[in-house]
Amino acid sequence: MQPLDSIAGSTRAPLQPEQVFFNDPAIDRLLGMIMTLSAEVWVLSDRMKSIEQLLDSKGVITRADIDAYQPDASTAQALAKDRSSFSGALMDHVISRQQSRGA
Amino acid sequence: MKNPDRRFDAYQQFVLDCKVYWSTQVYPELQTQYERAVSTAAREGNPAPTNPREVQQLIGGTTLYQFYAWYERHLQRMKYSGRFGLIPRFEAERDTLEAKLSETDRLEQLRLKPDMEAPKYYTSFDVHQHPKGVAGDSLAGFVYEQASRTTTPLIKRDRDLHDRFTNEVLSRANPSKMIDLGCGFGKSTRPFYRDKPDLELTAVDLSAPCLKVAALNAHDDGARTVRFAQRDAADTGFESGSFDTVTSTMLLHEVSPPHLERLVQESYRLLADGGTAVHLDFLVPEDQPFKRFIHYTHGRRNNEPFMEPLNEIDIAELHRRAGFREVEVIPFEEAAGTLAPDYRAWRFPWTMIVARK
Repeated sequence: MQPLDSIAGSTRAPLQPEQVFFNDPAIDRLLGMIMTLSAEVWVLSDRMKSIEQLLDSKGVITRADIDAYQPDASTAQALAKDRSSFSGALMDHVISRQQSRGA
Repeated sequence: MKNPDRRFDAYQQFVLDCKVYWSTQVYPELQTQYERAVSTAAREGNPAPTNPREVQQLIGGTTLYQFYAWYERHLQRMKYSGRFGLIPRFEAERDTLEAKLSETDRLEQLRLKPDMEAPKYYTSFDVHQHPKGVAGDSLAGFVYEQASRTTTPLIKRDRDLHDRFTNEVLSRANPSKMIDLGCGFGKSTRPFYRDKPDLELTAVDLSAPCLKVAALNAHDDGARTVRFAQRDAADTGFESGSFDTVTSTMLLHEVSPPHLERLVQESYRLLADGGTAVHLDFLVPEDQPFKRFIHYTHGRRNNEPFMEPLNEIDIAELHRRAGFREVEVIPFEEAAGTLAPDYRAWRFPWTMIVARK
């Protein structure tokens, strides 16, 4: 994989610096880190569940098996539910949703 | 794609889930907070905002808006970039995809102009945050085609809106010889040649990589009455009066204001007397300052700087100045129920401009 800079072309400077949305730009960057990590966590989680399913059904797995794996309808439904629950738990922070009634 | 990659699929689905949350939870919450702020201001004797700048003053500094804005920009960035973004995914299969693109050399339906110089506005920034833009890499058409599948995440089948628009055009204009301006990779063109196979159809775009994908898809579909040509929609070079219908989908907001004026004049020139131009784009009425604020700032966040100017000009008057005799500006329901007053999720302000010569 090429780093983004070389894909974009080093002579092609952006017209504007990256946009900042928070009062402290540190928050923009931290949130970027959180999202990168979160996505990675999901990728890993998805992969692990896929492996579990494959182990169950085949007993022996290869890397190509994992990449080619497509869940059946019920597994896909379970994965979608799990993914939705995970993304919901993460995104709830954005609207500062309380988990318990405040005193 | 030739080689499956479950990690890519899982990542992209995660980003999409977050976008759905943003559309259905964060945006409505922001709107609720705005409405509360307006009520509070009213109780203190302050008038409600009447324009986007005043909305910005009211909610632009709130924590929720800052998160809202960050996620809008960065979920789009995540779609294209990063370890499992669209750019590295397509890059990994460059050789196979280039070979596929080379099949267009023998397609008579496609006419490219390799020496064509694109307008400066078109190449000076990365539209939609697409690295290098929609014409800056030979694979850009494939990347754009994939990216567009999640532009409207709440519509289950994203082609629904194109089907709906096609039905509107077919019923309003009954075309027999039509030109689709800014066709991109052909998503807007496809339902026309599919639903009306005898339609003599020309589709133009500036982007050669997108036109190649459009031509490949049309060839695979068995469409024989459509031709694709690399032309500037504001200066197509086709004969005056040679079409009875001119369409565009999500094009007007992509062009600079001087270019937009020329594009409307070109649409008029291309039409025969009695012909119809139908453009589908994004317009927010002036009496909806919150939605204008959301839309204008969306344009900035997504590298689409002409969203705001398109809304600030009088598009109907622009058409009348070009010579059109009747102009209608009509809200467009891109999926069932999206124009209902109680629809709270984020959506584009889809609008049709129908102009008759």
